[in-house]
Amino acid sequence: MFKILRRYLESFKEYIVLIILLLVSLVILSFNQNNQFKKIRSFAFGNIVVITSLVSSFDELLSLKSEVKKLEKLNAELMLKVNRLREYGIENAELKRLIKLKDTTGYPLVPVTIVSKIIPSMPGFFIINAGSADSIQPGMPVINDKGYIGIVTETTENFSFVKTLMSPESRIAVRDERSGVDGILSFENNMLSIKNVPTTYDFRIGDRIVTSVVSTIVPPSIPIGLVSQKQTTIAGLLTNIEVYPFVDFQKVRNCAVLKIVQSKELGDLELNLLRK
Amino acid sequence: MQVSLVPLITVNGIYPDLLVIFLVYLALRKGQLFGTVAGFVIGFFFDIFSGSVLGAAMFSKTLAGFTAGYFYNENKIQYNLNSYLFILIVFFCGALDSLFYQLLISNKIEINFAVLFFRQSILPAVFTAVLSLIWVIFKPQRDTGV
Repeated sequence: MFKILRRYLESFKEYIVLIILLLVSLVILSFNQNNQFKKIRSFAFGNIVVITSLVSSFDELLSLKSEVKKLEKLNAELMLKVNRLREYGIENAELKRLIKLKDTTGYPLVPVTIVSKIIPSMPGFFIINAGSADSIQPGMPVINDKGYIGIVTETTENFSFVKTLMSPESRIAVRDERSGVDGILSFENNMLSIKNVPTTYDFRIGDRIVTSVVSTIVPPSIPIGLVSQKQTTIAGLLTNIEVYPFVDFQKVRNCAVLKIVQSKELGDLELNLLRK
Repeated sequence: MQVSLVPLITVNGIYPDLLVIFLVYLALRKGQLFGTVAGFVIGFFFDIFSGSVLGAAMFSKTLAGFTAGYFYNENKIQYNLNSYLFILIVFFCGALDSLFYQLLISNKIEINFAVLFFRQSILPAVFTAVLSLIWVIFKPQRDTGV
């Protein structure tokens, strides 16, 4: 009996081992939300990111020359813009004083650099070189001069994960700047789109899309992109709006974290779903 | 290397999997059982260091190692490792690995299987197979195998 069993095990050992290992993998998969697992993962990942950032810095060195030229040009352009904005600012302050509006544009910014843009296992996620040691917390939005990039989802001591607009898990409340119509922007099939908008809603090609006032995660009016296409569904009642982002997610390197997290009260009412 | 360097050679979000090449190499050299266990161990370390869903790469790479082991033949180790058959095996195992990995990490209910199959499975497998071609061409001559 024992011999038969042994022979049986011997001839099917590969399959038995395979089944056992696959079952172990599935059991571990189901424990992913366990805090102990999360701690181990964060610790290991924190270490590997150091290496990733070194590789990234080396890569940056290679592209530094052309980057400097571009930045010099940008600097000159920005100087001109700043002069113009300074004038607008004075005028704006005057007007605000007249109508007694509270200024809400002074959000604290933390400049950061993206150390890894492509995490093979997590499409649409970036890693930035600032973490809990820099008071970065999950829920803080990340922007650059062009507009909204993403939101911090997880932090280690010196690094943070950013779920960008290009993540399939990303959902954000947006508004058509011209018409004031709201919608939920998501990333599907390699494009940003506002799905299932009633055809009566006023979206036009070329309209600027910005973050909405109904968003409880991101401050309103941060630029996101332009409406590039409208597709009406078969029934003709709903439209899918495609949005072309202002931020070039392939090239972006330097950005800033807005040091604000939505209040608990607002969080209960949130429309943007901050999910890991 | 897979976590730090491979992102630098990514094309349009499609990335090769060097671990699959290594795994196929191990399975063709040491056998199916070894390949299966190696897939599990490699997957475990990949999951830990990539910060991804723990267990997903363990599952997919175990399966890939097991599949690669089917091609193990102790009389043809050298032939399997040095011929273009190696590239085909890498392609097949890479596609299988990517498909199961994406299925496990994707948290969307409505998955377009055709897109998933082509973009997330076939394309990375092609990329990986092309890289394995470099291995076949420039493999060190003193590696006698048997």
